[in-house]
Amino acid sequence: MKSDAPDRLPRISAMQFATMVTSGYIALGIFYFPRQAVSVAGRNGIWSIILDGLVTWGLMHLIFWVGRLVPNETLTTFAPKILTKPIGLLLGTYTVIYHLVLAIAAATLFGFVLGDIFLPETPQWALVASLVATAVYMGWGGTAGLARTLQAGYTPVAILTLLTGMATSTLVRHPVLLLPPANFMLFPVLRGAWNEYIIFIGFQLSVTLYPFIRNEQRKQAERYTYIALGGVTTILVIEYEVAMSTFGPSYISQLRWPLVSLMRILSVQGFFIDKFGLLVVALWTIIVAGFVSVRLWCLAHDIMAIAHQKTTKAYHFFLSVSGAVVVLGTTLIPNAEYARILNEKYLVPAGILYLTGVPALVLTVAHFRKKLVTKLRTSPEVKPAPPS
Amino acid sequence: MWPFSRKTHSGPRLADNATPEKGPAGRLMDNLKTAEQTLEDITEIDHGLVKDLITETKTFSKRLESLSQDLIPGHKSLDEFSGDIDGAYDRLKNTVGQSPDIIIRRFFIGHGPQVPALLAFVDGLADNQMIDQDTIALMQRYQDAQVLIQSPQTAHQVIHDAVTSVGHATVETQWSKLVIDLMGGNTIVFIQGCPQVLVLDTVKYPARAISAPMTERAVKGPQEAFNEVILTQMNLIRRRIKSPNLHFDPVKIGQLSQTLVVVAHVEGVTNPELVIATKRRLAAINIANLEYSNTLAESLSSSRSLFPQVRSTERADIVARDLALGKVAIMVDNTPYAITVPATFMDFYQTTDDYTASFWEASLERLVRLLGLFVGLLLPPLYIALSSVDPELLPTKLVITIAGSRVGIPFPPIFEVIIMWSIIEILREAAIRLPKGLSTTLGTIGAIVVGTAIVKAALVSDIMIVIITLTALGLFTSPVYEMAVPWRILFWFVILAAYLLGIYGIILSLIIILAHLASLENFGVPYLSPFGPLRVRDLKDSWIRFPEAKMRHRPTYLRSVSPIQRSVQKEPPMVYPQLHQTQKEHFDDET
Amino acid sequence: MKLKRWLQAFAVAALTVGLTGCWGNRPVNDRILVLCMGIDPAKSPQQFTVIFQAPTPSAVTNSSQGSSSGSGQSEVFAVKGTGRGLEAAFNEAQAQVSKDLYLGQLQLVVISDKMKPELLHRAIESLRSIGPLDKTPYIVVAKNSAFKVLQQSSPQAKFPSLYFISLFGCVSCQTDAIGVRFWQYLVRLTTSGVDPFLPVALPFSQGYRVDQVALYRGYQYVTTLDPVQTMNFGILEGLSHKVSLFLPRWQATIAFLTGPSRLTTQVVDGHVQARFNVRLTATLQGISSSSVTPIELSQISQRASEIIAQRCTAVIRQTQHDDVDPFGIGRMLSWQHPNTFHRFADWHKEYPKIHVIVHCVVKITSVGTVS
Repeated sequence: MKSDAPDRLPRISAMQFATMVTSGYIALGIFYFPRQAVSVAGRNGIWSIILDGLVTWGLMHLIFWVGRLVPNETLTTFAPKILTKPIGLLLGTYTVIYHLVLAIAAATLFGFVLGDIFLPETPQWALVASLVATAVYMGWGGTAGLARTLQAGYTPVAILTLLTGMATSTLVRHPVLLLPPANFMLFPVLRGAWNEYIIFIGFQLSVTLYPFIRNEQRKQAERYTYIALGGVTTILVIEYEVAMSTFGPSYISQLRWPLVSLMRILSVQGFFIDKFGLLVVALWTIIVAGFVSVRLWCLAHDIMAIAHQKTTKAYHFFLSVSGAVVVLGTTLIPNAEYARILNEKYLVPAGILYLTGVPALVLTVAHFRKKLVTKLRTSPEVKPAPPS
Repeated sequence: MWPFSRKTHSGPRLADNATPEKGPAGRLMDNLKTAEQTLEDITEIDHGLVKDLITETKTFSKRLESLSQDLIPGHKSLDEFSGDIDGAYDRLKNTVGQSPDIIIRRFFIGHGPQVPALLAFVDGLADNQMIDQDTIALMQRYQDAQVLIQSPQTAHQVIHDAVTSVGHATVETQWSKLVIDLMGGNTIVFIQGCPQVLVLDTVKYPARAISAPMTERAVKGPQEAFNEVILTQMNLIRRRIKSPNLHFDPVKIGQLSQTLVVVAHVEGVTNPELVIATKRRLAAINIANLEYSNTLAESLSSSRSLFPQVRSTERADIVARDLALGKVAIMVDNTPYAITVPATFMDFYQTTDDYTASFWEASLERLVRLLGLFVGLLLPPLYIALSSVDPELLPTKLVITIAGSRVGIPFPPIFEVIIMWSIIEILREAAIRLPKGLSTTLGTIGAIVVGTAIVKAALVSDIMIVIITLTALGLFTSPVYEMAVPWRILFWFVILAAYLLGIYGIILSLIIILAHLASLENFGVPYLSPFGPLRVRDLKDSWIRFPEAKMRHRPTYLRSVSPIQRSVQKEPPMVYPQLHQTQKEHFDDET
Repeated sequence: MKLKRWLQAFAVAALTVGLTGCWGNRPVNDRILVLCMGIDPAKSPQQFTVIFQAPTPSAVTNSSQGSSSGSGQSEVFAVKGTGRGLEAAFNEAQAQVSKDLYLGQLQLVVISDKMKPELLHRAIESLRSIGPLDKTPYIVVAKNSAFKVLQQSSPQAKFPSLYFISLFGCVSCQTDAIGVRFWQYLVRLTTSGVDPFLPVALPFSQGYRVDQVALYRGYQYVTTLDPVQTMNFGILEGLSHKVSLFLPRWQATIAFLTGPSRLTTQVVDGHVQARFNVRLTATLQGISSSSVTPIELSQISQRASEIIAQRCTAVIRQTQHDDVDPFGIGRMLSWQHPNTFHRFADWHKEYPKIHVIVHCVVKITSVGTVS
């Protein structure tokens, strides 16, 4: 393909950007959802989720602002130029490590879910390795290939999940639980929102992805991403309501993977596969594979930016190496409880630190170095190679 | 053998140095003869090779002789015809003329004063009647040959204008092109003293009649398929697109075969970049022999994917439709299959019937094809996954039925699949190769063997028979035969994944296939368009076909110069409601 | 290029590893499909016995060929294991058979009412943590011995599990839709303010009778409601489908009483009040409608409402007396008035004291086809 030409950025469309950014979150939190909110806030958990959605909306604004600073370069490329080299390098390293840990966490978690419900006798490493191998292959075709795969695979699964979730609502036994509770408590809601935020962690990949959008579609891309966020939040609220009114708050707090449990009780009588919901859970593979894949894509691009590499070969090399590191990393997490602690104790704070810290730092410095930023922004863009 | 083969190599070198003199060639011949004599004397080995060498050298020296005659002083190059009939005769006789199908004939132009002329054609490829009546007879009877003698330089023009009655005649001077024209069925006419050679189009191929398409049958569509003759192919398309904007650009490919390849496009519709890119890729092809259009398909694809990236069709209507949409068609002489580029995945699931039937029927058929694809690709893997790895997904009654049918079967499900699939593939291959009458018999025998005997023998469970039959049928629901091939191969990949990881494995393998399809790109067109990248407008002609009136635009991925192919139809305003109208008419009847 | 080589080598290695490993790839005919599981108390007070019941190979073969065996032989076989936990019992049972004892197709769990709470707790918790077992099997209670229930065969279905699947899977096949799936049982067990109830399966010569419910306080078996009480219990839970009521005064039957029941709670002066709003539709039978005036019809429905309300109240009184809350009044209180509910340390102490009102309206929607 054309990516052999150095500096060629295969431009992706607005919708593809939105799909990629959206697939960059959800996967890690979807399995815990909505336990973290419910176990702290009880039935008030719904406010936590809506609050999370709103906060994400705000943070997304900030992150896009960072992306817009120098829209033709990734954060890892332009950060050293604005923030001085050591800080830029530090930021790049932070980004890389964070992506790596997120990918490891997601792969491990999904491995545990699969090992628990589908393939109890298959070794964990095999589940994770096959998932990561698939993710690497998804990223192999470059940005456009990955974006297209997600577009063609992700959206149908999301819709199917929503429909299945709706179908589960036939199991709702207590409509009274659909209403928000009478006693609103602020503190538990905030804590629930904090714990539950894991589901929105990960959209910061937009700092790497931003320069890949077609120039004329940037505004549109941002808008689509907000719309997608709205859609995701709506779906989450629906799933929350269904889970809550089916299981009730006490049972949800005891479930390790409430949504999986919800899907599992859905069965279609007289069909070839009567545990239809379980099949949908299996289809979530694409959500997790997409998540890991965009992470690996980010990793490869960020490492390339740090190492000043620009060839397709280097991309493939770093992609494979990142994949291998993810597989090795997953072996460090022995069981699902550790995975939970990793997510709740470390990934949420680190993610929120990134989402608030990076914009704060970059935007402040950029404010004082306006000249440099303007120069960077207006520096002639590398012309794409003529099509063969 | 070595020394001799080396000596043959020395031939051309010799030609370089000493073309005009006969000396070295003669000396070499002498040497060879002496060598043969010596060999005969001292050994008993078979010296046929030396004899062959001597014969070849003789021929070669003759060729050199005829060439040397052309090399008169002041003449530009050996490749140019000098105007000397005798030289031309020798040259033809000594090169192509040794083959029995090449006819070289000397005759005189003119009834009174006579001008010597020479004519050559390939027996069988050229139309004898045209040569006899429209060329030789007319030339021999020509009254005004004096003009030709006076100004031999323009003789060809006079013949062209006033004598021959062949419709298409051109002029050529170079031997290298003349010989190729001759081989293509043209008749070449040399006139003494005239350096220009007339090339008369007397081509008359032995051609197959236009028959109904064999590989892409349609229920209601036109029943015309291409034949091997490229002219007929062009005619069939021209008949469908009469606009002068339809262009056929010829390209010759193959040093040996000199096959005519025609690149067709509609100006003002097709993106010019696409046409240029196609021609550039064709120009880059450097092969000796171009026999099949499929040889070009590989050069026109951007990667060695399992999936076909160009659509190859024998249906004239499909090529015409593709051209009208803004694609480029490539036709190859001697191959009844034209190629259209660029092709997307969806193109392989569209066919004539989709457009000759109502959109309801077309949509249904397309969905059935999709179902066929899923059934064909996924049924055996699902069976393996559900019966061996994830039985908890099955309803209890079904799981008991499967378990019951498998009692006593010595193989695990994956081997059942391997056994059955091998049988099916062998039957399929045999049925294609066998004569028609026999293949029916084979099918029957196969059905009996597969259907009953193998189950009775308890090698395969009876559910497996149902599954494999559906699979074998399902994969061939694609209207384009070659689309079944990648699935037949990927089938094993999915089977393996299902065996190792069950449902999860199937899903992973499907993601990988999807990722592969999504990363494919040919002529800058994403293979998975309109699904990834999502192009809502193009979805109207995907798995669901919308009514024709709704498909106003040409496909986005073709980036056509004029994107709109249909203007909005305005319904005439209704004057009065229909019912009232009827009543009124009825009332009028009564009065 | 080099990378490609490495990838190829890796792929070959991965395939070798993959193909040699077995990884849970086991055809169904090499597994023992446990369809029912019974849990009985064992002789030793600290142990319990688990019965794993699976169809016999001949029954499996017959079912695939569509023929009924009819030979009078049992279609199922059971292996038993005893231990302090489910895992120990499972191991003991697995030791008795040659194939993999597979729980993924479990459809029915039968527990004995004689199980001690702590043992039942242990068993249920173990059952709950089995990954591949989804939480959809039905759970029923056996009087005394679960094994007896499992041994009983019914002419209507080959295996007990299939009988109960078709019974509970179809709401109009039961008087009250009292089938309880395992996850529903778990939800009740884990939610405070509500106690689990389970249908009781009574084996008799022709099969099973399922028209009673057993009430549990947590894991503690408390009592069993008789068939009439169960009907009213079903009405209160909104589960009734074929309940009928005979009115001697008109010699009429009100049949197919069915409809929703809405529970609301109120706190009046610190006292908890619960109110059931039952709205039933019914068919009038056994009386010719031509002889009934509209006034009489309204009297009939009024009388029926009174009787049902009365009986329902009696059932609630009984549960209050037994101190078990299968209706989830406490749960509703915790949803509607969480602060009040949280004031109570132990709901079971509070439950007998609350004031319950049953308001019932019977609407006769169909008067039969005989006029």
